[in-house]
Formats: sequence, C-alpha cells, structure tokens
Amino acid sequence: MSTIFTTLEIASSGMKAQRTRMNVAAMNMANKNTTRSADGGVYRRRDVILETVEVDNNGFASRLRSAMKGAPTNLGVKVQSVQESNDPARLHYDPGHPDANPEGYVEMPAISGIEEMVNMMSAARAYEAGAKMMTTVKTMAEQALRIGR
Amino acid sequence: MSQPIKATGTNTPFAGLDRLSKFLGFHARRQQVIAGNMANIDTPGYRSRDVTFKEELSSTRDAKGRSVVQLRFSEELVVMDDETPDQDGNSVSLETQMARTVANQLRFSAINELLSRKLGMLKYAARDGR
Repeated sequence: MSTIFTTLEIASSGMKAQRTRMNVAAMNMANKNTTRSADGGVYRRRDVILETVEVDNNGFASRLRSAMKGAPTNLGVKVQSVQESNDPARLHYDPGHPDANPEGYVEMPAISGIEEMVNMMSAARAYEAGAKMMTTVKTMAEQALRIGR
Repeated sequence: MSQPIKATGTNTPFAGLDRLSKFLGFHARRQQVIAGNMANIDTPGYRSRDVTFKEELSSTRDAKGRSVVQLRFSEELVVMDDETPDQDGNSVSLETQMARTVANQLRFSAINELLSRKLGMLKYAARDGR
C-alpha cells in the first residue's frame, strides 16, 4: 500500500543519495592534485553507485506482495557504494616534485574539474527537485484535509 | 506504559473523542523525539530514535462476570536501525528527519481536523441545529 507518506520517504531517500553525490564531488575536487592517498599511491577519482531500495520493506503490505510475487512499487534509492574509478593516472612532467619517478614524471589523479562541477550541479538540482516534491506532497495532503470546508 | 482508554459506548455522541485525543498526544510526543534527533545530528555514536504506538484489545471480566472488551494504548521509544551510521556512528539524516516531521505534522492535522469536525457536529446538535 502506498500512502502520501510513502512519497515523502521516497523523496527523502533521493535527497540523501544526492547529498552523498555532492560529498563525493567535493572530495574529488579537493583531491585534484593529491599524490599521496591512504593506500600509498595517487588519489583515485571516486564514483557513487546508486541502487533501488524498497522503502518500508518491513511493512506488512510489502511482505504480502512479495509472497504473492508482485513487483515492488515503492522504490526509493540508496547509496550502494562509493567506488574508485579505474581511470589511469595522468602523468605530469615535474622533475622537482618529491613524488616524481626517475624520468621526472609525477602521477596525478585523472580528475576533470569541469566534470566534477557538472556532477555537483546535477546533484544540487536533483536535491532541489526532492525538496520540491516533499513540499508539493504536503500541499496535496493539506488540500485533502480541507475538503468540504 | 500501557493505559486503558475509557470505554465509551460506540453509539454515544462522544465515541472516539478520547481515542482521537490520545493520538493527538502521541504525535505531539513524536515531534519531540524528532526534535531530539535533530539536536543530536552531530553527536558521535547517536542512533536515531522514534516512538511507536500499539493498540491492543483485551478482554476481561467485570465483577458480575460479564465480558468487557478494553482497548489499551501504549507507546514505546525505539532506537531505529534502518539507516547505516556514518563514520562517527551517528545515524541521523537530516532528510529522513524532515520527511518524518512533515508526515507527523500531516497526521497531527488530520486528527485535529477529525476532532474539530466531530465537535462541530456535536455543537450543531446541541444548538438544536441552529
């Protein structure tokens, strides 16, 4: 069963996921020139992997539906993982750099500032959309409560 | 803390009023718990909390041996485990708490609306329909 409150839950799961995307974009941006990461090598760009998740999956309605082999309808989203990308590091010629190899090249993260800015803006817009969705649902419910007034 | 709701007959004009006001109180308390979660949004190790309610019908016998059905209402403060905590062990998410606030507020207004409409009907009747 989906109620007006399910919509709120779905919207909030989306907003939470977009906030994580924002975090990761900021992390990539901040580490654009990081040559020493926790695991030794150069920093690797991170990507957010999102997956669908059934909201209110401990409810009776969802158990009943899964017992009757129905397709889930109340799908929200959640962050499955934050993964390192496989992009090869960018080689930058800087013989004076402490991390330069014998040929004078330094491995720099393969991060494009433009790409991260685009990610950031897309996350911000999607977050905004989620917030708008919640406001709209609230207005709808208030309208229902005013029926016959 | 389980407390019986005073049994008013289902056919009296005041039927259900007691129950509706119980729910009103429940949602007011839930709002407090959500506010507590929000206040602890940066507290390391804090797990988000919620209040749940339970209604039970229980059947007892009165002094004359007649069977009496009683409705009991109880509240419970629960620590939620539906969200993965972040690095400092805190599991409060601003978005979830806001969604719960809105949902709670709407439920509160719905009950409020029901109560006032019910009282409106009583008032109408008490004034001889004027």
